[in-house]
Order: sequence, then C-alpha cells, then structure tokens
Amino acid sequence: MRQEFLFIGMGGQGVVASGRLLARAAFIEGKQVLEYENYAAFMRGDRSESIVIIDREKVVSPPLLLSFSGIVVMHEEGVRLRPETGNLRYLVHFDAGLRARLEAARRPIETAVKPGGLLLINTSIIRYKPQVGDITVIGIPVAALAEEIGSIMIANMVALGALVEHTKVVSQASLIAGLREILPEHRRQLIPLNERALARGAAFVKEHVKAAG
Amino acid sequence: MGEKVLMHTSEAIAEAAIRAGCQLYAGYPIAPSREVLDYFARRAPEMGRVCVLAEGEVGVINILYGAAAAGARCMTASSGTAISLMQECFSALARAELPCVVVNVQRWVLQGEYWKATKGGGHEEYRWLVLAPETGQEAADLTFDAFGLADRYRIPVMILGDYILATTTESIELPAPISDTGTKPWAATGAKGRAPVWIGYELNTTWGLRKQKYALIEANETRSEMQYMNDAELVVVAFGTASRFAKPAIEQARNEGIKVGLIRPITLWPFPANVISEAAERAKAFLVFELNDGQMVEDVRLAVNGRKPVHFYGAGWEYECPFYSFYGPTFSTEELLQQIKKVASGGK
Repeated sequence: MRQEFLFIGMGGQGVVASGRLLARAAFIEGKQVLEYENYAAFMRGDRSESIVIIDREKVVSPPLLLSFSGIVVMHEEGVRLRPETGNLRYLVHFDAGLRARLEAARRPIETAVKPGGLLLINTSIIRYKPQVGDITVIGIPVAALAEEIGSIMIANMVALGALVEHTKVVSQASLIAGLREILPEHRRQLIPLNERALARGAAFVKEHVKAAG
Repeated sequence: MGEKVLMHTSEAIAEAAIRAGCQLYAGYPIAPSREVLDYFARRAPEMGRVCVLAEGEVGVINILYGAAAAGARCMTASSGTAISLMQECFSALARAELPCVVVNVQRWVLQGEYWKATKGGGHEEYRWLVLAPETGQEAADLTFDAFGLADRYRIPVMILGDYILATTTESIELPAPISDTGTKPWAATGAKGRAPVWIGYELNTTWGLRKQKYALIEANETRSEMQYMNDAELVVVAFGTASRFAKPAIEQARNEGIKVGLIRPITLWPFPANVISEAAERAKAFLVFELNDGQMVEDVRLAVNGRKPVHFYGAGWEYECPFYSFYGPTFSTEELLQQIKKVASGGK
C-alpha cells in the first residue's frame, strides 16, 4: 500500500535530510521510492519541505500531493496560516508547495493528513493545537530531547525516529543502514549520535503514545 | 540494464550521459540544473572525461560546438534564460549537423519553454530532436538514447525537463555503460594523411539535405505513450511532469466510468501528430494539460485540424489557484480530475 510522508519546517532544521534518510531506508528494504525536495534558496531560512512516497509498486504519483499518511511539522511556520496576501501574489510565488496551497484554501495543516494518518508536531517550538479528528496527533519536544542527547542539530532525527516507531514504515535498522550510506566520510563519526536520536524519538512514542493509547 | 540505485534525477541524467560515453561536459551553474554540473565535475576525473566550467553560457555552447566538431560525445545542462543565451549557437550546431545533447531544466513556468525548444528560437530554419521525460527513470533512459540519436542523425538533441523532475529522487535502473561509441569519419580530427573535412554553415550540408533528414527523423523517431486509447472518448494530451499529474486523475476518472485516455508525447519534435490525428477520428474531445498558459495545445489543434473540440487547462504565471513549487505553479491531481469530469460531461 502506498504511503506518503511530508516533512515541513524551516531551512536548517534538517527536513530535507529526514526525507532523504527515510527514502534511503525504504530503498534498502527493496521498496519503490520517490522523494521530492522543495528548498531551493531556503537552506538558511524560510520554509522548506520534503515529500517521500513509498510503495510496493513503481510510484506513478506526481511528487506533489495534497494529502499524506504522515506529516512531521518542525516549525511554527509549518502550521501558521499567514495573513491573506490579497493581490500580492508574489509573496506566494516564493513560497513552498503544500503550505501555500493550504493557505490559499485557508485550511489548517491537519486537513492534509489522511484519515488514520499521523501528525507529528515539534512542541519545543510549536504552540499550535490541531483539531483531532480521525487522525493521530503526537506532540514531541524534539529540540529538547535532542539537546538532552547532546546536540540540537539532531532534532530532525528524533522526529524521524518517532515517525518510524509509530508508522513502522521502515525498520530502525534500515534507518541506521541508510545513515551509513548517506553520510559522507567526514561525517561518519556522527552516526552514533544520530542512532541515539532515532532511538530517543522511538522511545518517546513507546512511553507516551502507546501508554496513553 | 545496469544496477538499481536511489538517485536524484539530475545526477541520474549526468550518470546516464557518462554511461553513454559522453566525453565532455561544459557548464555554467544556474538553478535548478546545477546538480548535473556538480555530479559531472565529481565523476569526470574518475572516468577520464572532461568537465569544463566555462566563463558563461556563450562559452559553454561554443565549447560544445568545438567538441562535437572534433567527434566527441558532449553535453551541457542549463535552464531558462541561460538556454536563451545559447540560442545563436543552437542554430549553428543544427546547421553544421553537429551532434550534442543539451538538457534544459525549466524553471519558473515549468513547461514554459515548449515553444523555444520545439520551434527554434535561433536564426533561420533548423530542427532539434526534443525529448521530454516524465520520470527519473525515463530521464536517465532518454539521456542515454539521446547520444545515439544525436550521432545517428548528426543533430543536436534537447532533453526538456523541469524543476520538479530534476529535484525528485527515485529508484532508477541505470543503463549499462557502452564502451564503443562508433567512428565519425566526418569529424575534424586532424587532416594528416587524408583530405580535409569541412564543418560549418552550408559547408558540409545544405538545407535540402537537412530537410530530407528531418523527414526521416519524423518517420522513424516519433515517440509517444498511450493509455486507455482503445475506447477513449475524451483524450488527455500532456507531456513530462504535467502527464505525471494527469495519470492518477485519469485512473480515478476511469474508476468512475469515464472513458478517458492519454496521449503523452515523448518526442516533442518530432511531434506525434499522426497518433493525435488518428485519435481525432474516434474521440469526441481533447483536453490538453500543460504547466504553462498553452503552448503544445497549438500543435494538438494542428493535428486535430478542427475535427473535434480541443480544450486547454494550464498553470501559467497568472494561474489562479496555485499549488506552487518553488519555481512556479503546478497542478494537483484533484483539480485535473475535476477538469476531466467537466469536459467529459460536456461542460466548458
């Protein structure tokens, strides 16, 4: 069955890296994968998105979608509806994909999650409380948890670990195998730190979500 | 076929070129085609190929002219305005019958360069083969094929992609590398021991000869993909990324009992006019989807020649309900389904 994931945040938060790692892990498991990155000049600020589509069959879908099995929101900008721009459409022209579409329709982020899907929110910086319908919402302080482990830079990996623990879309082992393939030689020493971050995210879901459910 | 990889389409294009025996890559960076240059710059030294970062676009295309004249397989990738800067030399390459491959990764209006790619843009009369991949896999395959086509017909070939295609990473089966790219007795490789060769405007060819060649290409190399065309009453025509948005919409419409089919031109020149013309005998209407304000629709109308209505739905600069990618408006599959339903029910 096809599953679609969206990572959304500010440039620098590692949303593109999360997407790439999830895609790599699924590829390692022999699944068909499509990954799309919308970041361009936003690497050092403003909203960026990564979309990952995982399927058993060849992915025929276009890279841009309106609804997802799972969404990870890393920054307030990912949930905030900006004020109406009126005729100033150029403000929208330079904006990232899904958010602009939702804003145009004045729809909140949770409406882009499919029924039964997951919305994972970084509560370290996001105050937004989504309307919980037939979706699962997990609030997880990824920045705080990452700092506990040793570096705020791996907050994205805490979020990815949590997403994978809840959805089981790939195994944690494949994520770690993916890290080894993706990271360049001079970053290999960061693998243990990233592993701990993935495990911390997974543990958070086990402790809080499973216990509550 | 070669091994299966998870690869960024830009990199798959560069890798396919290397595997097709591309000996020289010249480039000047511009988003969103810079990744092709990056990849080639990394791989060229390993593979004993040449990668040149030129001083600008005019330099790039003239380096290709020189490399092609000397018989080397060569390529560049660029985007939009930077492609426009090369346009004068495009005429020269075509008129001197020099094979080369140019990848145009469109930005802003994602399919805004159909006219420029297929109708020339340079001075006087010439043609280029234009291939429009829909997926990363097809981008790799068509890039690989492009070198063979360019050599076989002594014609420049353009791969017309866009930002979405180029920034998508997919599972791709890479073509197996070839070692023998054939010989080119016409190439300027030094006249020692043989008569000199002539390469240039009207030196090695004439318009008449090129016209015959273009007719041959039209007869032999026109490619398109068709879906559900055996009983289609409504025919969607879309190429590249637009088709990727259209396919799930067509699938959904079929599930709802609408007799809709797809013609996806893979070669934009030569344009699959015959396929569309034949479809016009049976179909009731055509619906063209493009990520622009209506360019290929003109060629569809020519092929249909007034026999059936041709509707158009596009996403150009002034598109009202935007699903923006960074580089311009795009569709959603949901809205294309609405358009199919509207036209199928006789609306519009």
